[in-house]
Amino acid sequence: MNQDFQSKLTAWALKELPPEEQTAVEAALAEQPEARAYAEDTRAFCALLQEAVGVEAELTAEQREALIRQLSAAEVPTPVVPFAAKRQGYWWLVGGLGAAAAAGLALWAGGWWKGGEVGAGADVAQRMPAPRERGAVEVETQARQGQGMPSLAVVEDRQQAASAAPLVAAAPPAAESVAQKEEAVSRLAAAAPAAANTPNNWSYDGVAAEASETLAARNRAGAALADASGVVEELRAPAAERRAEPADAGRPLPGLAWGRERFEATAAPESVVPERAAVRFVPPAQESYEDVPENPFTAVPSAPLSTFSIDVDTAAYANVRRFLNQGQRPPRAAVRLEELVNYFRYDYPPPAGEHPFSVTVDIADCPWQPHHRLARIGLKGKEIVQEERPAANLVFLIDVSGSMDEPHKLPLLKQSLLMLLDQLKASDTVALVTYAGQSGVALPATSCEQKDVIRAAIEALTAGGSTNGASGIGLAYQTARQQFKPGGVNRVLLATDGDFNVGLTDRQGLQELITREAKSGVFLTVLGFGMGNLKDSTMEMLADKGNGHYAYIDSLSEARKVLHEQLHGSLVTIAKDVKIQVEFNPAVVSSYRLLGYENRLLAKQDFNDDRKDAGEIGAGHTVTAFYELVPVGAPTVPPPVDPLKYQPAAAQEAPAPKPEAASGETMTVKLRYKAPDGEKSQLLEVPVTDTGAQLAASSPDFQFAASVAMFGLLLKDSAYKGEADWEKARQLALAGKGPDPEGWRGEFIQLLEKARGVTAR
Amino acid sequence: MRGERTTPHILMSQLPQDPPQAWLLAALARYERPLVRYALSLCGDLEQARDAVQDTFIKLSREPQPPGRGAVSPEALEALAPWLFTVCKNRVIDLHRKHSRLVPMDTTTLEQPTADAEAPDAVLREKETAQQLRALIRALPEKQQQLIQLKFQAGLSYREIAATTGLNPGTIGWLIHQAVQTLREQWARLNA
Repeated sequence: MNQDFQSKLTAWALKELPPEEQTAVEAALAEQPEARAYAEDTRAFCALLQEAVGVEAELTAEQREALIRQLSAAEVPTPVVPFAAKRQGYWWLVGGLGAAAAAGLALWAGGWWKGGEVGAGADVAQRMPAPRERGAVEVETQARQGQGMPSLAVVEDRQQAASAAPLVAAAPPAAESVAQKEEAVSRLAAAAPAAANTPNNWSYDGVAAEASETLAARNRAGAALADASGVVEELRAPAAERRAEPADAGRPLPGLAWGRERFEATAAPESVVPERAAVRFVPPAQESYEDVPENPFTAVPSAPLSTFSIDVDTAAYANVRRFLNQGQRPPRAAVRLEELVNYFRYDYPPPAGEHPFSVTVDIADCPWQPHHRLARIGLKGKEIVQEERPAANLVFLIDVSGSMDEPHKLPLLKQSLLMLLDQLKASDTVALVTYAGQSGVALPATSCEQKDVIRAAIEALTAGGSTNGASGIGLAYQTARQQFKPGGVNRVLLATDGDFNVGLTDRQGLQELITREAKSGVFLTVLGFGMGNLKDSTMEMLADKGNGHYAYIDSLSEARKVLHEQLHGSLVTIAKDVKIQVEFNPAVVSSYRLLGYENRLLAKQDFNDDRKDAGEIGAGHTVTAFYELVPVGAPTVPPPVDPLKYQPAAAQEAPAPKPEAASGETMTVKLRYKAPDGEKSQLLEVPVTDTGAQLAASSPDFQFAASVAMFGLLLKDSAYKGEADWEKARQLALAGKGPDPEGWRGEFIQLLEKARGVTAR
Repeated sequence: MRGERTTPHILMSQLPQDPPQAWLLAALARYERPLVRYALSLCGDLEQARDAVQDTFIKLSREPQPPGRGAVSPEALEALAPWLFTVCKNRVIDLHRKHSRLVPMDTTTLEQPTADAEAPDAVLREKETAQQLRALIRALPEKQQQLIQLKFQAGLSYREIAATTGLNPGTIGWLIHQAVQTLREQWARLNA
């Protein structure tokens, strides 16, 4: 049972499901004893909860009678009353500190003018038991609804306050007036920091800039506000007195905190997503990572072939960065070495000749094992310029379930999509499919000649409902197939926090669905958003099976990298089922270890088996893989295996080395790939000889990539980290940083420091 | 389950049938209890909660353009919910501020831990259950806490909570689910 289904069961237990869903859930419950137990437990617990904390409270009979009398006699207010006119069109900002701030000001203003107006309703009011603070009944809290603009309300209140000010002269007895002023000041003081918290420009006197949490500053701000309405002289003295008194409300009301959170949740993300989204700490309790054991050292005589599928995913790096920026050490399983290394682009030569990508291999000292060598295999896909890119048929499959309703999820997703949209050509089409409780086509395939229409549809997305990923994916592939562009880019882009696959679909079923759909020629890109319940392994699996790749987007700058700068790589696949097989020369290498790619390993016979699925490479993508090599004669890290008991040791050894073994070649790198629409693979072979290069003599790119690998080993606390340490990694990264136009490498160096700090604890 | 939607104390015959006031009384019948419970969940003081609700209805009667004005239909009444709950909350905040300034000792006294002596009596055990659950609720994230209060203390439906908070029902369902399951697990652990 996954979370969204469970969420439905909770709603069922609370009788909150719409009738048709209730029927569906009950049908599912009849079949699934586990779910039934869960639902029943939840229902029983909810009843207990209701029983225990629910309160039965109502007005006193006296109060109610008085209210009924008053309400029955209520006259329809007419907008003839001078101040009532101003109230027209005012609305109530639901929650929000803004409202609280406005309330402070308005109370003050309202208190005065209502004093003169009270006669009309006074006799009615007197017939009921007095609420303890009569005067404040009339307080108006005005703010514009929806726009999240407390400052607007404040300004209006100020106008009202100004117009109310003349009444001061005619105001009631001195004692009462002092008390009221004092209250006004305290409210102003309370309001000021609240207003300073709002992101809007405060229009006058620089109060917002000055206001701070200190009481002194609050009073200063209060005085400044009062100044604006022309009654400052009378208010200053009480302001000074109040300074010595305790702060306004001793215990914060839960409602206030709630209001503040509401405000942040609605106003801030809607307006702008920060460049590197400021994210709240969320314990990763519900995130799931699949722990795959590290590749061990393998002896060349017994297993001379190493085979794996390429992987251009980069999600692990962004995810690790997110953890480190929150001051947390990422779970070991979240550190996938190959994705860290592949996050960066390396300057491999562009392909020349028949193959769509180039292969570069270089070898130097291993920085964490002085006796070992480090071999780097680099692939670079050919670049495609915008004009040459075939027309694209893109279907965005967007998770709009309740869990996406967080600033760094849906709002960031929307901005990311808008950014991608800017890159598209008029010949491209875009469709939007959403999934939550029910999936639906939010926008049928629309030509990019009508970007306004697409933009409006993206902006109109809102989160709500639980998730059923499976039917959404089906619908997205169906939409993509309907618009299929032969020879073009046909792709489903799934954007989610990954907490789906729900309802009645298990991981296996989903995997089969994706595998089947991938055969139709529609590829899949998975964009992961948010945190807290990130289902990392599910998303990676989907991208693998769907002939696509998986990127994790934690910020707008990451979105820019994935969807803007590397858009073509993300969209245009130049080769598929790319497999690498390395044959090591036993005369030179005694054992080897592939860094990362643990979940991409293939059996040696899979290499030539064209039915075996493998990774794709996109236009301009680079793929890097590291092998740590133990040269013949060097001390081996894992102790050699015991001699065999039942057969002579000689049986293991190659009977007689072929003459090629004496060539001095270290290894031969073989690659197989298919054209994006091809079924038959092509072979590419690159023999490699170790020239004995020192690390310092290797290319800056090599050093930087080695630093990233070392960073991964350290974060993973790998059994093979050897003499790796943070300082070495830093030095290597600095040496290899190069021009770094995008700033990614600079950011990595900062991340190294953070990782050093986090792991030192 | 506490599900009655009208206040029996108000006899329908008492209600004037002509439009301007009928909707006000219908609103009172419909929302009196949810509002008092809600206000109580905010401030923890029944007197204050009642005052806030009383003030809220008086304000409603003076509102020149309340939502759903003039109609007694269920839809029109539902449209009133955001207004009522927001006004009520603001009123609670106002009263609370004033109150805590006038009687500063009051809240601190309320916060004193109560004696934790074992009580054999079933009534007291029940109270203990409530105390434990309340403590667990207080440990929830702020937002979930509020939703649990609205759902279980004030007894509102998801739709009403949506109207009150401005969150959409999907989000509310999700957060309440998380809160309920957290509470359930912790409760089970406490009573294992």
